[in-house]
Amino acid sequence: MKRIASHIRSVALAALATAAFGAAAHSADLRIALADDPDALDSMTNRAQTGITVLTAMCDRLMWTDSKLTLTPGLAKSWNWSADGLTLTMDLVEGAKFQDGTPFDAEAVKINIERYLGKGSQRADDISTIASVEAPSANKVIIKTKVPSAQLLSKLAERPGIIFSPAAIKSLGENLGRAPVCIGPYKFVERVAQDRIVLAKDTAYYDAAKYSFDKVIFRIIPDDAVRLANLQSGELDLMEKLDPSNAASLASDKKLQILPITVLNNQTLVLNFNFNGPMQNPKIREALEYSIDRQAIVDVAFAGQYQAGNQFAAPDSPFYNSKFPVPARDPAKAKALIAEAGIKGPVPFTILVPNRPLSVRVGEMIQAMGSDAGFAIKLDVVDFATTLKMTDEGKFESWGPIGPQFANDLDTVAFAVLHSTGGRNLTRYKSPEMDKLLEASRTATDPAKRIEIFKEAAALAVKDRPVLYLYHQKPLFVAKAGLKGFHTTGDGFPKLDGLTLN
Amino acid sequence: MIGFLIQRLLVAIPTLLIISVIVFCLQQLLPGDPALVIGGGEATPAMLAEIRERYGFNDPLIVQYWHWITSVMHGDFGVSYRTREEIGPMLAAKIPVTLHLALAAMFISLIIGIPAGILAAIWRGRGWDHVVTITALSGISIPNFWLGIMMILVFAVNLGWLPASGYVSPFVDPWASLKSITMPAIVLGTALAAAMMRHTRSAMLTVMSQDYVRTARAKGQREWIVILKHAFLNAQVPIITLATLQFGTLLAGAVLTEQIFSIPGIGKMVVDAVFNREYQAVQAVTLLSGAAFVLMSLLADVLYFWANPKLRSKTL
Repeated sequence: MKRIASHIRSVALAALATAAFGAAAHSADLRIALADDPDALDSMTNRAQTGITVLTAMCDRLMWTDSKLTLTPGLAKSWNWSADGLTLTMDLVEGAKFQDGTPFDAEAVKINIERYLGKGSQRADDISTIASVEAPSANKVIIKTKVPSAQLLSKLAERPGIIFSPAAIKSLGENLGRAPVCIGPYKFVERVAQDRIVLAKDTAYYDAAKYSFDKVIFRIIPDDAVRLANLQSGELDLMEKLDPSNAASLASDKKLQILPITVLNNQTLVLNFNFNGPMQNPKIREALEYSIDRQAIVDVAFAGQYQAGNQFAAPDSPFYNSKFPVPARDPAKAKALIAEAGIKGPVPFTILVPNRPLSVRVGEMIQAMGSDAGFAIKLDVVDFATTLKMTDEGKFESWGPIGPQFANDLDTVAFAVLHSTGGRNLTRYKSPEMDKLLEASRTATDPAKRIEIFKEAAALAVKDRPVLYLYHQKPLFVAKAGLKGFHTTGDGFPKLDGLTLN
Repeated sequence: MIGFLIQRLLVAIPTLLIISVIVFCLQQLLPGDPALVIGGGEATPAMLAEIRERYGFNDPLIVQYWHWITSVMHGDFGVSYRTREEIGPMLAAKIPVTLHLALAAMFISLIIGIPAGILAAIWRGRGWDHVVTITALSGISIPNFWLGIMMILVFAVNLGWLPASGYVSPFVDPWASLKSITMPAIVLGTALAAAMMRHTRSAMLTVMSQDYVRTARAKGQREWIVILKHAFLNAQVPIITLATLQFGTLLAGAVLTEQIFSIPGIGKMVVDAVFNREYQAVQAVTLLSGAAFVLMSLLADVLYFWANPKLRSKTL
């Protein structure tokens, strides 16, 4: 018996020693869990948010935005606009090299921007105001625009600001995303689809001293509970997308820290103006708005972690028009408006809901609230890819909750949804007044004037209600308590400079 | 025997072709447009048209099928339009993972299911039989995802004995590999063991009422020889059928288990492919699953030969 006990003790000690060795062996690695498998690691075609997370760890951008959406230098160390707002001159960092050892220069920037404008690019629309790119010297780039373009700098601080090695572009062509080569602190090592992406420190990077990890390992763990369990068991250092309902229970866990961030985004109920139904009547749209308690949605579905809102910008944003605060729920007023519209009995109305647990939760709450306020709401829950097809073909009455997840400029969340030619205008909303305002916002290079224009556009959207803004997400990251220096770009992606793990 | 095997392999070719046609047609019925999934909500009509042209979505179905099947015959399964990775190498990387998980789960299923089934048959209607039956029912009834998450909480989060998720190849680090495969294999294997136990029990009960078993006992043979040699060897055929079917299913990918434990196997790949409307990847995996079933059915036939001397003497 003693011998058995002794064996057990030996095995346990060996296991502990192995665990300790394992921990020591990985101390210079940063292990981050992603909720989805990224798509191609090429910012020209990228769509998935997780793809940008990986690219942000790997690649510098021409400029960055900080958490207050202020532009900060990146590969462009300074820039200025000409007096007429049609010429942007950028001075580039000197001595930088791509991860394949080739030198970085203005010609590389020109090649990349022309690639982003070219065939097959998903970014062409973002920077469509660019007329030409010139490289008069190795460290100077001149971009000429067709019209003054207030949003262009923000776009260059987003995906179109990532500069890939021209040699890699040439050799890999449209398969660049398999093994991207850019300028940044970590270079691509390997990818195992649906499992992991491994990056290693590029010691030749010009600012390498600011980065403390030798390797960054992204693990793909779609299940919320499993992702969290991995962090709790010590196999991860950082994870994204904590289910808000878990935030309260984690607050008392001293080994972990919750890191909420603020990003420009909104979740809405899109109302199809072309659908022959009750929502074509402005009074019914107003009644629907009064039937919804946005704060209750935030409190119940998202454990109070998100922010209720009724405009494209959040209530604490400088772009928010405070003359139109979030309306309180008023079922009596909703019923009165329905009666005024001359409709008897509950108003039938169908919401197309993406089949995701939190989206369905919100849909069910709107359904329940609507039933108290004179609506008979039906939920049509289908998978996300199908909702894309149905909404593109206009085969829906309303769609939601849905909306842009991240942006570093208000133009991204306002123009695309509300302008009559906007790529995400699924409402088919056409307002000459709104078009004029949004076009003016793109040419207003004076920031104060731009804020006023967006506030006017917000007021018009509140009046016309092509979409009902519901809430603003505050993405939750969770990390080990020893992770210090966590910060993100203005569009919500972790930056690894200054990040340490004790 | 060899002639029989060649004949079966030749029959597999039209079977796989028919499977490929059915899968190709069925997934065209899936709602959703791959161009929209690739381009996203913000894609302009011009971008969508360009995507459809580039990937050949505008071609007639028969042309799309012909392009795909001729490429497959040349060993080219296409490229994922989402990640730009080649599907062939992706599949090649996932097959060993799925095979490892399937073998480990099958091992668990067999070492639990067969002895428990034999014991339940021997003590039919007595305490042990009830215990095994209830355990088997529980094994079938407990959902994989629940058992998986509970095991993660107990063995990874609280005790810290096993990794919560992920996969390590046995050729890279055998000990870490064993630790990474233990929980998924138990989750998958226990559910299979339940069915295996019920099957073994019923096959054993049928055989044990046969005259030759009674004769063996009458000869005064020891009970364990009667059970293992006379009864169990004759009860093997239905057990082989179930085991090979189960193994074929496992090779097609254990979707939930792979999802819970983040194992980069075929199941996880096919789910992602369906949600992203990656038609070529879905077709490749389905074809592979079909091939796995054909191979398993062939293996079952070979095992019948081995298990049943009468079959051997008739055919050879």
